[in-house]
Amino acid sequence: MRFWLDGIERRGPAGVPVGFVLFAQGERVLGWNEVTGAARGLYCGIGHCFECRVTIDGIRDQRACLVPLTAEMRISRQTPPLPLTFEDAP
Amino acid sequence: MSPAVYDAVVVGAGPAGLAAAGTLAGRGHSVLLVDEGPVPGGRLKAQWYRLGSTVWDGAQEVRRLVNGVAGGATWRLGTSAQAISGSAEGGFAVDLGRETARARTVLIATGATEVPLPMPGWTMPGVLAVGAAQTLWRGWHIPPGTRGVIVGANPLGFAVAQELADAELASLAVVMPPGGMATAHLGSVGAQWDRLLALAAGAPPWAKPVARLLQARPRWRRAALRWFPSRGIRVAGARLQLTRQALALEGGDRVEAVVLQRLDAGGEPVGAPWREAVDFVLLAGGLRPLGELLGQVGAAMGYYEGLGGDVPLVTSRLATSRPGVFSAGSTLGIESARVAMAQGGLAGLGMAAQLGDVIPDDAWRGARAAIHTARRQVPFTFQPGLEGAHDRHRRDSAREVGP
Repeated sequence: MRFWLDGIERRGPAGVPVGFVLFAQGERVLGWNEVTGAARGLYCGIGHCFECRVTIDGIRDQRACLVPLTAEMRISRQTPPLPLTFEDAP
Repeated sequence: MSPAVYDAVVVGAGPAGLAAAGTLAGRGHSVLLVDEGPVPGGRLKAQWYRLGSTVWDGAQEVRRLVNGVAGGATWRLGTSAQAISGSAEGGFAVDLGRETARARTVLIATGATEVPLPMPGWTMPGVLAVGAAQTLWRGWHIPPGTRGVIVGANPLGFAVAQELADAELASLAVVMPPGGMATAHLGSVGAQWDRLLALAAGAPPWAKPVARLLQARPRWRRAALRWFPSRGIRVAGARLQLTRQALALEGGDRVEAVVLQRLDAGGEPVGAPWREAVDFVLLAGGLRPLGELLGQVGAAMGYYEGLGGDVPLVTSRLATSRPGVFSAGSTLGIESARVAMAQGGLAGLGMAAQLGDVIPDDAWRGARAAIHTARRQVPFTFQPGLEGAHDRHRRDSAREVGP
């Protein structure tokens, strides 16, 4: 069954939580921490820790461990904000 | 057809919630079952262990419980109960995000959560709470990796090690957690060894080598640990390495190594740390009752170490101090799924009585006896001092919320 991860076509079993499908396919990184930019992945597997938050079909911060995969689902990993840059005063 | 006001909203479709819903639905009450997970069963569905000559198959127990509820309840899976307001007189409102459910009674059966075991590198992908490995392997047949360590020598860690025995891992070791402020609540290494010793009395067959090893008095324990093989002993498909401590986890976008150090017989680190390659790490910090909603409705709580943490004080019908709000399962203390089921049955009767049903004496007696029976059938206890904690919890409850 077809789904999309960061715009790239994939196949996976329907009904299995998204986080587990990606784990089984070797994808350990599910996103990056908003503050530190460090990679984060599946941790508790039951919706308590909120470490596996991804964007699913346009809705941010869905817990990948709780949402079952469905056909044509569009999943994207949430990137950290761009680093702060300082411009020299003229 | 869903009623405007449910007789009962059950939060948590694990063994306790399903059993309560079955009891209520069987008596003709309208029930709304809410759970965050995509499928019912909570942690029970991933449990699997041998018990003497029989096998405890959690998935099969869940099917039986779900059949018991059958069409008698309205289901809201993949749904978080975010807040509960109202009262027994005016009715409760349970905020489910997209909708608000109205109810005459509420059961809070939200179970337990894993106690974090913070250590350097623990947020790296590939580092999982030990229960996640149970869910991955038993729930979906996905192995957590090929070479790994379980950090934390406690019953939950052992149980998961046993459940991973047929995952054909290249290696799995159980090691002690690091010391320091973040793990201070676990006590010293010696205190952790003592806790293992206290649990050894009720140890399941696969833990018997540990039980034998740690038996008797501390000085014997010291002698046993002096001769404890550094490579560990085989327990339930894993190597139990009681004289090794994990100091840190290393890697980049995923965990690649664990830094280990040897412990002497007194639990003190000795020698130079070294690295071992791993592709997964399971942190076993233990379980504590998850009672956020109870705190939120203002139910009277008490702290009992033997029950795993803060639990509500309840009547003998499992009613909390807030009229109409009941509790059952691990939310009432960390015990086995069998106990949770039996508590769910009793809470279901309690809620039915609150709704006006007349419950005959023998039904109450039967429901309470089921809890005692379930307690005798446990494969292992999660916390030492469980019985003493039950007694104190019962006394405090009788004083604070009544019989």
